[in-house]
Amino acid sequence: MSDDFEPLIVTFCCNWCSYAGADLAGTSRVQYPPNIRIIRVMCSGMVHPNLVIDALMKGADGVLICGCHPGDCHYLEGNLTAEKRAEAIRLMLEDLGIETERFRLEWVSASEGQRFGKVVKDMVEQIKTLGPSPYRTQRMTQ
Amino acid sequence: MKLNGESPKIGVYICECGINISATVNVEKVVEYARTLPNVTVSRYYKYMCSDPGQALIKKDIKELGVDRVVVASCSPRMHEPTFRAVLEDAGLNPYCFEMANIREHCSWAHAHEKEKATEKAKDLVRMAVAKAKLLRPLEKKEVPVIRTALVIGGGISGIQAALEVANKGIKTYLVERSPSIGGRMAQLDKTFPTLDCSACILTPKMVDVARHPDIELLTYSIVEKVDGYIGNFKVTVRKKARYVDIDKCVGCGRCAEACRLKGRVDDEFNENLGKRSAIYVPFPQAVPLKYTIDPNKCIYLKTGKCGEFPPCKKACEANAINHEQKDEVVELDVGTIIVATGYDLFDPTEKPEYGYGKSNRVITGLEFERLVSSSGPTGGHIEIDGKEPKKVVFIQCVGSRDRKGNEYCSRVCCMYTAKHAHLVREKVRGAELTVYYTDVRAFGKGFEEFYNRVKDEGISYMRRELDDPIEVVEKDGKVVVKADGHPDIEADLVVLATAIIQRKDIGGLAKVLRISQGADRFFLEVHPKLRPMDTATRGIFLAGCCQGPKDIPDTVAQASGAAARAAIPILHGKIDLDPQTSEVIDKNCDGCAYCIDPCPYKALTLIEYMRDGAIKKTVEANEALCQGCGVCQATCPKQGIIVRGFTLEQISAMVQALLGVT
Amino acid sequence: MSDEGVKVGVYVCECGINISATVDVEKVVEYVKSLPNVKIARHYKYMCSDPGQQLIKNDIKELNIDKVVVASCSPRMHENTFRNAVEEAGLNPYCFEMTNIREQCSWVHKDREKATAKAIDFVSAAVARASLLEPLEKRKINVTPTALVIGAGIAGIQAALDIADSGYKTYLVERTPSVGGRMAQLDKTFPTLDCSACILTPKMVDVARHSNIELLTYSEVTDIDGYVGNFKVKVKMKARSIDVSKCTGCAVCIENCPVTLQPQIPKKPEKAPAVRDKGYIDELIAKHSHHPAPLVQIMLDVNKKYRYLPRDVLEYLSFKLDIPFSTIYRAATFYKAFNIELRGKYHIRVCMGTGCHVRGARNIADMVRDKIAGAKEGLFSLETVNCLGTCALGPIMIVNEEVHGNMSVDKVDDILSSLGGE
Repeated sequence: MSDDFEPLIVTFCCNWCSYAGADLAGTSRVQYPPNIRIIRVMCSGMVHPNLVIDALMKGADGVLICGCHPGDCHYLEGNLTAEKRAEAIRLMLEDLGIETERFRLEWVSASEGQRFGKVVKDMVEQIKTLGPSPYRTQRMTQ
Repeated sequence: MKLNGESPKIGVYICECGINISATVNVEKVVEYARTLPNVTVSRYYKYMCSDPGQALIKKDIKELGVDRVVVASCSPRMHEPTFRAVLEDAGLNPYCFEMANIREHCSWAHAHEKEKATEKAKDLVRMAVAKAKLLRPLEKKEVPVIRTALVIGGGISGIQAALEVANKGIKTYLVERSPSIGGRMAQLDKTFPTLDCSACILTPKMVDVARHPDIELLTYSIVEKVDGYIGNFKVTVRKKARYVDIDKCVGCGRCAEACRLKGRVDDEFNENLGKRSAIYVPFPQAVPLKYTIDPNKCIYLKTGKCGEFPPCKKACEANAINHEQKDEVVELDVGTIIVATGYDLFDPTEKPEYGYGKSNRVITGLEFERLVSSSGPTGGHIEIDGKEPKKVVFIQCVGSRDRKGNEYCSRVCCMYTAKHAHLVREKVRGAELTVYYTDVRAFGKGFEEFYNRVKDEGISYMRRELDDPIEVVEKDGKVVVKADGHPDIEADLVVLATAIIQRKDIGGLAKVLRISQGADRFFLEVHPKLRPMDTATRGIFLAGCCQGPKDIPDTVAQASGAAARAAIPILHGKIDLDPQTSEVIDKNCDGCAYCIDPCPYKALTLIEYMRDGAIKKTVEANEALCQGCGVCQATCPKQGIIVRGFTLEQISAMVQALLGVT
Repeated sequence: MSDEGVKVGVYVCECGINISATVDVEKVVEYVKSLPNVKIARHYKYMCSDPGQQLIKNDIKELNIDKVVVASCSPRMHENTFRNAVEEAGLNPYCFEMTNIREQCSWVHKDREKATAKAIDFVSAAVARASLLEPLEKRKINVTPTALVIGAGIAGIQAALDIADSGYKTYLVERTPSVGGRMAQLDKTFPTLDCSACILTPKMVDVARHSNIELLTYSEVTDIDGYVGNFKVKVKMKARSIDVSKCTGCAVCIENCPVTLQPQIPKKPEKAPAVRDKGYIDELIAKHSHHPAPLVQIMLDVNKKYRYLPRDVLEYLSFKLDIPFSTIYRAATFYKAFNIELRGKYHIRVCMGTGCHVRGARNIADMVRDKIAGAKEGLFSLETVNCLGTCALGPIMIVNEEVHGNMSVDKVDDILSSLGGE
């Protein structure tokens, strides 16, 4: 893969922990690669598996879901539901011939600005080694 | 309100935030780009969108250009979403026709050295926001009125305090207590640490206040059986158990108890079974209400239908208050909020046979000691076992607490009540030899350390032992021998065990009725241990006292006052705003498969059936008051049969599609 | 004590047989009837029952009873019941007196005769008091429906939010520039280890946004007047030198501010600072150089020569001895033997200890102060000290080392004049 490959990662952040964690990353001027696009959802448990599959099928190079740490969920246990679903999503990705590494579920609390930056950096690096999504041609932008 | 359902007019406003955004993101380029997006009527940038002139820009466009969807690209919506929503509302637009793109925290600040890429990212974020804005629908905030009454469950000190505090705010309050009198555990105590004031003397005036309060309705000997509804509108079913005594007639004179054929033969639970009572009884002389109750498990008449020629209690009652035919009564209460103050049980020391409890009457629990030392107790306040004053007393702390295999928590009160007990023996028994086996003395409260020092200086020997070290209490020649590893054996006349505070053993049923959860330690779980320590995950239900975790009396009273303040808020406010961003069932898509019902953490969904076109249609019904909008249902539904307004699958999906450039 | 027109009604309760078994209620009633002002006396099985209460109400209406005495159980039990009954009959509820002949009489005595006598005493006393009862009106004071919370740490924030959520306007006064308090300084909170700021900041934002909360940061409460329901509070809003309504918090100003407040460690000067009598000071340093800790010795000499420790000398010593100035200053201000300010040629010490104080030391000191005010600069200085240990001689005044006992205002004049004062 050429070095100038810039992955595009769709990121879902729960409103209460991870979105705030991403805010804190910005407020503390943590610098991370600009390859993610955050979509705010109320809870990581709100992300329908179809959204993940769709995004990857339509050319996103990766999908990242960030939620509260287990036990911290604003909605009691939405994050645990998300975790169970993540298993199912990985199975589907295998069926579709998409590397499961393109999908990640991470816990980022509202205090973990640094960690948010690191999660993004790690993921971008990993996707860079994987190369562009096999479905990238579907994508109309870039 | 103007709303172009089909082709909305979107206004896009990019904020420079001084130079916080514009130093990294080329806002002019973003504005230019936004103009090319479908449905965008106007696109502008300004130094501070949140400032008054910035807000005025938006208002002007809404009025003059007919903009009906607004996208602001600036800081985090956690910061200014309410600000801009208010702007829309001011300009006559529905506040939910607003979407925010975070190009500061998530873009300019995070990619300060990559101007070009940051600008591209900002464009993407704006495009995504516009895609969602296009699908936004006006939402109406719903208000539900709040019933101006509160319910307190449990009439111990926390429930009493909570009920008084709520009622003092002018709110009608029901206080439900399952035993015949309010007072709870505190009524059983003799003195309270560290001030040593008499427990009854500070408690009974509060009990009387409860009984007299014009805004408190007391339901003693009653059980909460069912709770329906939601915050502001709970329906509570309470069973008023039959007392077999007409409380309107009973004057509390006690002649019935004197006359009872079982007088002095029924174990007295208020005295921790150290004393005896009759089958008709008041738990203690200061009971509120001072009304007698017949123990249905003991009363000869109730068990056999006959008690001598004529029940002597009935004969003795001048007021004609006794009614063996009385039946339970079930009442329904409508309340706005609920405070749970169900108190605690004590660890049963027979679970740890090494302490010898139950094998010798010389081994007693702390609460039994309280009754033994209380002047209203079975010995009239004389510390005696088998009629003799104990000269050597050993206190053992942490029985059932701080146990890695059992209750891992510290019960918080045992160190201090043990110190108090030792002090009381010192005061009442001349020349007593007193030993306390402790592991750590936790004297954290106001005046606690001072009290502990005072007690230690009274010649009470504190001996440290590790909790895991073996200890054994065995009966020997009419005494009990305490064999603690690493210490000489002590032949004692009395051993007092400081047993742990545990959750009520039979609390499971009520937890289910109230839909509130318990932690690993079985105590009721608060929403947040620090910031919402009295709130439960069920809106409108609050916690006070030891049902939430072990507490001393000052902490209990403080928490009860706090819970009362919390519980009064919705009632004083008069109405509950329901966030419209909650779930909505799309009846045409929903086939009633009910996948969504189980994952809902708030039990806000129910499966219903109704007749449609002559056939039974199954569908799901969402309770807006219970739903918190987490969207687990939406993500579970395989057929878009349920959505969360403002975060619909369609809207989120549109953002993804917009990002990837597929339409 | 018979007041004209007072009509007392007395009601003795039998409480079933709880009272009547021990107290002869009929006898009580008969006796009471003979008391002054008693218009009517009755007994009844249960005064607290509806028919019992009705008896009282009827008498109020029909016999114009205007003071009511009930002899029954403890007022802690039924005082409210009877007050309400009296009020319902149109009488002021405070024209009611209760006497406890159950818990404090029938239940605690066996001797019927003595118990009856005691009950009669109780009732007679109650009648005497009832004759003097005045109608009382409950006063109601309007309460200003606003609250003030002082301090905006987590406690103040939570209190303000709960009051404001209840629908009351709340002022939250915080003396620092921001709400947040100690909790904002914490990293994580035990035992859950959640980030302190993350759980705190949403509450801070709630406070700022709340329509019922008026936030007064960088402000201090200076005065509180009034009483519950009607406090008047003065708050000083300190100047921020920033227009809060304009500031967007972008922090560009910080970038441009030339002043950075960081702990500055003073550098040792390159060369020795200027000092008076350099030769003399150097000599002193040389003289005491053999001493393991020469500083105090040198300072004693310096103090003797100049009658105080001039700052330039201390700075010079700091340089020469390589001792931080702060250390030197600490020693200079610690020992009584040193003065930081110039003392007069005649240093006058007036004892203010208890012994001297009661004998008028204050007047001596005032006199000295008056007298030396006009004297030549540098001639006199005054110091008041606590107990010089010669209380028997008090008041004591010491000029340099010379002790003057049994001082009087007149003697001050003499002493000062002899020393060249006017």
